Amino acid sequence: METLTVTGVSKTFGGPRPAIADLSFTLGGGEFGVVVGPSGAGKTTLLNMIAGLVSPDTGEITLNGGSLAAVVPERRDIAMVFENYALYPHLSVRRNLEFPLRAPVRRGQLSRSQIAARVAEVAETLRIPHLLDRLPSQLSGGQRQRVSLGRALVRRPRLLLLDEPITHLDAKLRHEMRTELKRIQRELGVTTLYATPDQSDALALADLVVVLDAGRAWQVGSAADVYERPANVTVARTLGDPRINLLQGRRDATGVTVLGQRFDAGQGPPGPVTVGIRPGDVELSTQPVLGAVAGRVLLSQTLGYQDVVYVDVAGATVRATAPAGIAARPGSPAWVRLPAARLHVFETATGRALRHREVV
Amino acid sequence: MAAPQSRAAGGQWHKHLLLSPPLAFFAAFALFPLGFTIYVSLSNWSITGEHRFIGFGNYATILASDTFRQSFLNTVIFAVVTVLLQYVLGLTLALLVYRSTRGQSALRLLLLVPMMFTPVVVGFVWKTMFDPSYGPISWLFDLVGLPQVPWFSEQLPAMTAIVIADVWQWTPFMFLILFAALRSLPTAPLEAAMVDGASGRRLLFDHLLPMLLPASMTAILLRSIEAFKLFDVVYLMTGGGPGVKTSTVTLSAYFTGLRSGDLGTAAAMTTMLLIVVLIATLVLLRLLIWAGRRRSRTDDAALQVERDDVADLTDTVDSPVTTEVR
Repeated sequence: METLTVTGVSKTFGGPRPAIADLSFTLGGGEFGVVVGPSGAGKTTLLNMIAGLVSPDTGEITLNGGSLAAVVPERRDIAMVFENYALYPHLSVRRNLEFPLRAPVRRGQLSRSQIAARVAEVAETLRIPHLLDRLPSQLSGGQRQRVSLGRALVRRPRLLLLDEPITHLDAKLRHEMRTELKRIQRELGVTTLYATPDQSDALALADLVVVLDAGRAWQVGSAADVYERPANVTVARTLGDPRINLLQGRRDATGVTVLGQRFDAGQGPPGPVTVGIRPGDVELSTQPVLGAVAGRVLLSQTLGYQDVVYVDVAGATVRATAPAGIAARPGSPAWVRLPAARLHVFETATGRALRHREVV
Repeated sequence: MAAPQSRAAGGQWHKHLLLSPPLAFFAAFALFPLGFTIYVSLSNWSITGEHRFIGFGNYATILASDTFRQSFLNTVIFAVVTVLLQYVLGLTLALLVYRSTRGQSALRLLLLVPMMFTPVVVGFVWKTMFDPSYGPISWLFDLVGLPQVPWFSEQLPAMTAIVIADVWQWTPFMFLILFAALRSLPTAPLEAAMVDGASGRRLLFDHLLPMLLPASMTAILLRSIEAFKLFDVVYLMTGGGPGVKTSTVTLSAYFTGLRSGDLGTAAAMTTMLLIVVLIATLVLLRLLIWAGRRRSRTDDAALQVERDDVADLTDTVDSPVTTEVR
């Protein structure tokens, strides 16, 4: 089990802003790390640097204490699953899986029968033994994804890198594969770094979450950390579905005013603040309620198990979740209550968190 | 059912009518000359216009002729050697230019220049280059102390000179096609191969070349068809000499038909060449289709995949291993 450390890594491709700026984190041996961020955040660049396909401008990447700077990609013993699977189009599934074991750097380490046994084993784990003699062009997306994962796992790498491996699968298959990934990673105990734009992947899989946006790590921590205690507005915005409400507010010496209501929020410097509250924490009612502000329903989306209701409150849009079937038609009146304990407060100028919601 | 069928038949009749002008053109400019050549090859047609059907007499004559056999052998040697050299050189150049980061567009343009010359100029330039008394190549050989080579008076040097001229002119064509193919290859499988432990030579032979196979086959096919018809460079550089030692089928047909006036025999020679080119093309086309099929999804396979997908999903959902986790 290998520990991955990334220290002060930066990379610029000649654009106005760096692709990766001063990034640092440590991923413990056998842990599942998830790099989450929108497209263009620098996720693929980060993985490519760790794999050795791109060299960082500054900073250091080490695996189990040994620097990787002078090690060429083929000698790093890091496996990578690419976003578009990157299977070898001219080789059958079996030959694709064998390839890493037959590569020159590992020549002579395994006998022919050992290679066959390894391939059979990994095919079994991924439930693809019936596909071994097909060409990649004859596989569906989900099957290609499994083969590409198999090719990464067959040689028991020191580190496994996954670059949006399930982004292009349909929703149902994506869910299955996510569970599978976690199972396989647990079974093999391989240190894994997973890049994804999907926040639910991060919350579901990660021992360690790195929230990446515009090349910067905005927070590094456990899934609970980044979800419950976002260090800044960017992290709060990245995680959670439906997205967190961010409302303009003002802070005075002892409290915060938002949507015309004042909440006690401890001591602090006065000034403009951004108040965040998760849609699940907003209390929504179709009847007037004490301490609630009146608004008008803009839109209601049904997710089956619950509804997401968009309410216009004095020009601001508030997202709230409500039990499915709540009578919230567009145009009808609604009342919204923000429980004081559930508010996040961020400094508007810097986006820095001033106060987190209290966890019940 | 009857009504739509008869309508379709009527529609087809109209379609044929609309297609008739181009079909007439095709008949006039492709089928008629072909049929006429074959007819001429079966007659003793002379340049004065007298002719009589003589069956396969001309074919018997040329097959028994040492000159024709020599020309035929030369044609095959030229075609195989030049196309192979052009492919290897074109591929090497494409790989080198593809990897160079600076001045790529200028290099690309420069490499294409030889292809823009007319073959007459190419033949003349290379004849001058190899000239034993005042050519730069003889001078260069002299300078570095190599013995003089009788470039145009012995068979092997003469053929070498012709091959060099042809390779010089047509390597850019191979380069162009292979370079374009390289540019359109997906980079991800190559990156994956690097991460998987391949490098340098293995990357080239295990991945790059197989992925370039369809483009390679196309380039080789196009060049081979042209190479069998090699004429102008040979005509200008050696005129088929010494004797008929560097003659090709086209050259031999030209001398027999237009210089000696024996159109029937010349037509038989070109018909023989056509048959050989046709067979070579068919074989290469087969290979090309085979190479292409390895990469593209056939309808059959696609259908099978759809069915498998369903099985795959239910398999995953029902599996106890999956539900155990978390």
